[in-house]
Amino acid sequence: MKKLIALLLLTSSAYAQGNKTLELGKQTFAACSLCHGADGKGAKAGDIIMAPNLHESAFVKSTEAEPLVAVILKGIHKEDAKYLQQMVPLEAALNDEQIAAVAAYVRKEFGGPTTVIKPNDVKNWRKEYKSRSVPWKRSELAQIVARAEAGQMLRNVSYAVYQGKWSKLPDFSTMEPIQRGEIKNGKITLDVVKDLKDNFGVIYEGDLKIAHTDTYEFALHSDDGSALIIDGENVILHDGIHPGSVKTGKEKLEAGEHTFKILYFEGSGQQELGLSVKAKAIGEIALSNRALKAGKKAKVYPPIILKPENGEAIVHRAFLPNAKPRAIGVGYPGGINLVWDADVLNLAYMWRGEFMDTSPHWNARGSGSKPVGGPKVEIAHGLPFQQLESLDETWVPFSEAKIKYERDKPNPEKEITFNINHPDYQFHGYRLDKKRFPTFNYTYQDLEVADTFTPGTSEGKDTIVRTISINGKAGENTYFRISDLAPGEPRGDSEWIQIGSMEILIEGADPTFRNTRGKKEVLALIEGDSEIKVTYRWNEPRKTVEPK
Amino acid sequence: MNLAKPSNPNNPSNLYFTMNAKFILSFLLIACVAVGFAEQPKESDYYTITSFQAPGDHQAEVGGIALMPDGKVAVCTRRGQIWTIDNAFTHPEKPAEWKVFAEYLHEPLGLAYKDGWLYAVQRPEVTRLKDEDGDGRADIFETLNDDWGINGNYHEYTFGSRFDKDDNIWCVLCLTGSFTADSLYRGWVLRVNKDGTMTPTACGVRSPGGIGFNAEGDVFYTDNQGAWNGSSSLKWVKPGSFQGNPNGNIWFEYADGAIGDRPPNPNFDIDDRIDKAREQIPTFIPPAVVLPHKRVGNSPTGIEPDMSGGKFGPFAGQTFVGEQTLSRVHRVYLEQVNGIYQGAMFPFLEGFKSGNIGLLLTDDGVMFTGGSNRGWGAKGGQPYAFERVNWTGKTPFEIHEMRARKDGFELTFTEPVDKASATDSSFSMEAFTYDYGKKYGSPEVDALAPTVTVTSVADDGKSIVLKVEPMTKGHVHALKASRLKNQSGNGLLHSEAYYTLNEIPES
Repeated sequence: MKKLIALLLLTSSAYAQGNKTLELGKQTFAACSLCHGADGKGAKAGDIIMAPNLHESAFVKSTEAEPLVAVILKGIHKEDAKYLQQMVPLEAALNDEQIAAVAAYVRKEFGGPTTVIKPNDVKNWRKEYKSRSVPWKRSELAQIVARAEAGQMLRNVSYAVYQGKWSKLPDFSTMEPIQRGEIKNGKITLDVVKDLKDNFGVIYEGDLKIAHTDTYEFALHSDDGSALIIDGENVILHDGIHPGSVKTGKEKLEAGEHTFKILYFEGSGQQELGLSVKAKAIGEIALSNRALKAGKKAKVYPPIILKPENGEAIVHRAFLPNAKPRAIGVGYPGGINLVWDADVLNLAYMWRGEFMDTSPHWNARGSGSKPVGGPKVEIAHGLPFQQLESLDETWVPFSEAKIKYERDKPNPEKEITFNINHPDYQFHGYRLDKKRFPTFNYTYQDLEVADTFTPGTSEGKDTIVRTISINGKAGENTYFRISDLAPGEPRGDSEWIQIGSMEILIEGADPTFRNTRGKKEVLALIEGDSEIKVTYRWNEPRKTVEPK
Repeated sequence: MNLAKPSNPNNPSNLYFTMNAKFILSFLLIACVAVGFAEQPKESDYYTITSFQAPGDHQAEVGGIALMPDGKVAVCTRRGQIWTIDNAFTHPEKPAEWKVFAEYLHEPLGLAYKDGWLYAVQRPEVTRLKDEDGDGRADIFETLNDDWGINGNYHEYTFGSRFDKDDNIWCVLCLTGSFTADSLYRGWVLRVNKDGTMTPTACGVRSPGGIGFNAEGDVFYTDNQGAWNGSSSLKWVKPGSFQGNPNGNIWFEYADGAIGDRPPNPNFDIDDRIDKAREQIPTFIPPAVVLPHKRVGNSPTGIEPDMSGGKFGPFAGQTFVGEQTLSRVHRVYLEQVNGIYQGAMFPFLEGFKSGNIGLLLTDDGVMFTGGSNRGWGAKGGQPYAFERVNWTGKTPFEIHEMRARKDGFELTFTEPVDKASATDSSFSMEAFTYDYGKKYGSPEVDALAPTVTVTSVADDGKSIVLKVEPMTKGHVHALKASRLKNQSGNGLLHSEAYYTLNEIPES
């Protein structure tokens, strides 16, 4: 039946081609008249009428065309038996031009206003109601009437765009915007900065028109920080670097003119901004071009878990937390995992359980993967070797430098700190063995180093045996740092040393314990060709269920 | 439902059908008139696109493509896999066989093969890989060079070329964000030699999408519209050059004189013109071919010369450029005038399934491309694609070359034109340029409408000399030849060309 209606209406469109809008409206109305009657009073079917008298319709009479168009697009839910027929959705049957024409015709003929309805307006409402798949309830239509008659809530909206790297909303008033503009349709949008990727801020401001005195609940969604200010008062502060999430704020507002301001800044990664408002009289309205529901959770991607299979390890390079950008994740069969950090040529941390969720790395622009499973254990992250003139000399774990930040902006005096490869080290990559376990290779001064990890068990506890093979001649007083955590008290004649939440066993080197300016470390003096074996053993049995 | 069934007048729903039969008939009549127009030649008459599907749930977001000596095609993906694909040339007749060669690298965007090793350009390093035990999977992942910085920002991409004749892979490093260069050599082009050494080579990069060669072996990269880039463009990486964005120039402090002294800053406070800025900054090499933003695409990517000697159709020696946003491949004709590369961009082929990034054109005249729409949408609509382009053997009627002259352009064609159609009114031209400044992108500015007159048509009908007034240095000259016909009466397959006039020839 739907198809036949479509055919009928396409036909009348072709028939009316070249005629005026009202002529097209009249042609289109021919189908409506079957129920509403050619005179709009409702066609009789025995005792009852088939459809309402349009002369009495609030949607026809409304000063705004939107409610009537909304009814034509989506139809009305049949709540009683007052009429024989039901207003069916016509969005698939009629094009924008036909809807504009029939609405104009109905309003003119049956006592509504005679303002022009543009096909483009219909197109926009069609888009706005796109997600709605069921006919309107009459109570919702009353809200649409109230809302439409209240008109655009945000008016005279202007925006200003700023550049800068912030972790909280800055004081924009001290800065010069790089771009200004207006938003005519009153919908807050990040489209005005769609070419900017990172490190910018936007202020939107203008008038807030309130038609009905009521309590309004605003929902502000952002990634990163944002704030909503009404009449100079903070209504919502949703500051700081965070993923997309919603904060709400309620405000009682009198009918009349108010002012609003939205502050927003973006650090890096995803950028999102949305605003909606809810009140009894008007229902919920999106004030941004993103339709966001109050209380809706931030976008979380369904996890994509990498699992070691077939008894082989997985090597996964991505930005990983708690390590430098050149991090390499390794998931071993049996649920033992580690991150080896190629920026500092060292083990960053180990954990048990599931390996890696790549969903943040493999969705959108990719912010990096997330280790899953149990707690991370870090024994000595940072550069592994150092020549120490005395045991009082502190360990320098990271290689960083500073540079004056001169670029196409004010404040050329600013200085940034950046990672730089340490001149004594060179990473050479890794080799995989038959089980695809990696051995990491690098050089330190004249030493060639190979760093291999093998998961296993000792006395029923999970272990990782680490073998550090060193070839070449070491410089004087060269140490390898085994741990930068305070070792526990020796237990009898056990060779295991308690380090943090683990026990470690050192073979092939005599450990040097030192306490330098409050920092306790375990080092090993290196002279040249040697092999150090460090066994890391978890004290506790695994709590997480081991992945199969 | 049966229209012939007698309707019950008491059933209101039947009212529709009884009164509608005659409308339906008239609708059908209208529909019948609409068919029967002569078919105009279309792209697919000349070049066909064949799509591949990665096995299982794998998303082959292709970032780089290389041909292996055994005839397999290797692709690296944004997810960090490297696949080898057997039967890539014969698929689907002889179906493709995909096999994982390596995983998971850090968003590799460049792949090259040399002497038994596959080289992948990852975000943090150039890595060479080898399958030593012969199981079809790499076991050696050797870091060839990692002498540049990354800080964890997704924007810090690294794209890599194939090997040049001196055994260098050219790496082009995206800025940290749209406006910053917070890590070493961000905004630079570096050459990494097969021996592991790195040479800083050029500066001034903003946001690249690919790097490769023209037929002469000179290196070009694509840069995206943004700060100091009014429009996306294809840029010539002349060693020692400045490419326009000054933010990475802080790293001259570390370059140890590899490309001389830091160039003077452009004017930070005005919307300048590249043509004027070149006078202040001697090493500034202007974009060779502007790919006018929004008109032809938003995000240019991979670069490949046609070295097939005609096996890929009539464009031997020209250069192809991928386009991510509009899922296309462009064609580019390059020439040098006064020692500077410039030339024309022509539309070539559209309708790819995702956003093209990687590009390969083999010596046998087979093109492969692929990409992703992740983070940046693409017209093709699919999350990833790997596709092959074959020439059908039919020659499209196209502008073959567009060369600048002192007072106009010379056009050559892939087949003779109908001389009667080669009149002034067959051609029209717009000329425009862009602001050169720190803001993000630029509208088209200083627009002109040059007059185009036909000076001469070659006897063989295969070239036309046009007089253009005025010829404006630094402007894109957008030509439209919409009424020009070939001898079968068909128009050009693509009637537009965009010539970037960095220099005006003396003759």
